[in-house]
Amino acid sequence: MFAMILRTHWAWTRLLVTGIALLAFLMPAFVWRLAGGDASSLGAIQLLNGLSGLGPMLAFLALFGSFILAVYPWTLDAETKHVYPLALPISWTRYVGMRYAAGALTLLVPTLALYVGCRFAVSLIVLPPLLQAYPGALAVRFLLAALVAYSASFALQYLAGRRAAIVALVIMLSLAFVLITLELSGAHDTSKAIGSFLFEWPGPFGVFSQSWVLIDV
Amino acid sequence: MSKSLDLRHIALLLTVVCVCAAARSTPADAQTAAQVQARIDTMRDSLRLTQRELDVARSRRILVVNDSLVSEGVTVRFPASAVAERDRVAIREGISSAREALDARFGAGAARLVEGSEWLLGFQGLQEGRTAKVGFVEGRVLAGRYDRFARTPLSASEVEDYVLELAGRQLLQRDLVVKAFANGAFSLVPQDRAFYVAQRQLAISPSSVARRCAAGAASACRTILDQNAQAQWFAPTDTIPRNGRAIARGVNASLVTVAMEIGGEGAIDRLAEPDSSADAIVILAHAAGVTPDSLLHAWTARLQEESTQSAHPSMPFALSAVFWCGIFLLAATRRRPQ
Repeated sequence: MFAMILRTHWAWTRLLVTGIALLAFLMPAFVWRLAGGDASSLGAIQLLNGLSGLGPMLAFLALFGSFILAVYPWTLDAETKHVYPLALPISWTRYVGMRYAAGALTLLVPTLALYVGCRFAVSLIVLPPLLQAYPGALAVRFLLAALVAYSASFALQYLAGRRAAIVALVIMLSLAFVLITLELSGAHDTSKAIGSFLFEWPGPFGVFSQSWVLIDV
Repeated sequence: MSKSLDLRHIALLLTVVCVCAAARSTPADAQTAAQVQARIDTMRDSLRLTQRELDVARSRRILVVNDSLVSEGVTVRFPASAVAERDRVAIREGISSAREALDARFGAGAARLVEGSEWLLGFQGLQEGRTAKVGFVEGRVLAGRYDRFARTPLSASEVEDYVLELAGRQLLQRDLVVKAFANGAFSLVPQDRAFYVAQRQLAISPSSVARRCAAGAASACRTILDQNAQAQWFAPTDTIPRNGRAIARGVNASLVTVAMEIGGEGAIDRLAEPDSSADAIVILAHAAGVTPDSLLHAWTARLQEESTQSAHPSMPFALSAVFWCGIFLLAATRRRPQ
């Protein structure tokens, strides 16, 4: 059953996954080119500064790529009013679990592409002494961030259905409103605590606030 | 000449005044008596409000320090009118948690870093509808000089950080050579990735000596940390930066932190023993209870270890992400389409 769902999932999302994987593969070399390109002319500081843009770009890709990968299959299911999954001889919970697992597995493709892209970019760079490349660590961070973003989008889509976009917007606006109100009313600790809970370890989105570095000491 | 000029000015002014008066008296702008009265009342209310705000601001500008509290041997003085009960609770909690952190680090010796200290809370920007800034001042009142600012209502974590800062100062006060060596950068407040930052500064320093130190060469570390060996900081092939500094102050402070960690409970007392050397590394090694070379090796190993750890996502970090994925998945299964 899972193999069938995985096959369907792959058939639906393979173009998207390939696009995200391609971007993930190209990004390290692209950022390195933007940083100055020629390894011989780059000192340690210039190299670190030049590659500092890679982390935010990958975090953005993990966030939005996973969002699309979570939402798109649901919309295809919704077009047929979920007749197919409801007709299957398995519980809805099990079906959702398998659908989630299938999507999560496809995230391995862009992760692998990123790892290969990082290794490729590192092979172009002559590393200054004491600096090390961390392609594996960066790929793992990307995978974790993509998984969290995928899970959050998946949950939102399956809970809110067609109203997911509106609910997402309401959640974001409410959060912004609460934080601004707390700041203006002087409750800085509370607003800080909310921010920390969401974006610092062990919060749900803590993975995004970590340092995403390809090359470091 | 000037007289005719003055006359011309007066004539011009008179013309302008007449034109304005004529314009104001045109029927289009005419106001009824009731409207004029309403305007006057509005202006009067506005004036009264401004006067009241001014009075409040005046009354609060002069805040008399007339209250105090003592917690864990720390005396805090403040103006009673400006400190609410929740601020007092935050102060007590902050001092208490700082003391716990210090006890865990230095054992019984922690008392010497905290007890007997006295500080004052000064207030700035106390106006209606605005959040006040609270300034912490160590010891007696120093006009306008605050060690640290916080916003009201006070938080226990702000107070805790301040107590730890003061304790750090007290610690360095026990040896002036070490104090000069740390150069104001040492703090007992936990710093986020301080060792990673120190290693990074060493590794990307324009000084090749600093870079050798980052690689673990103890002799290079001794040179780069020695404030009296500036001539040896840069090799002839190095590009010397404009400020002439090879490393930032935080690098020295990280060595003090490591020495205090290795020294544990006895470090405070050993640091206060009379100096047999003017070399900060020797004094720190004595406080740590090890040889200078051992201290430097432990320090460089710690810097390298923390840097590598910083780049790799840790297991608790990965588990936390997996946990949240599970929560989201669980939530997703809660709703079944009809």
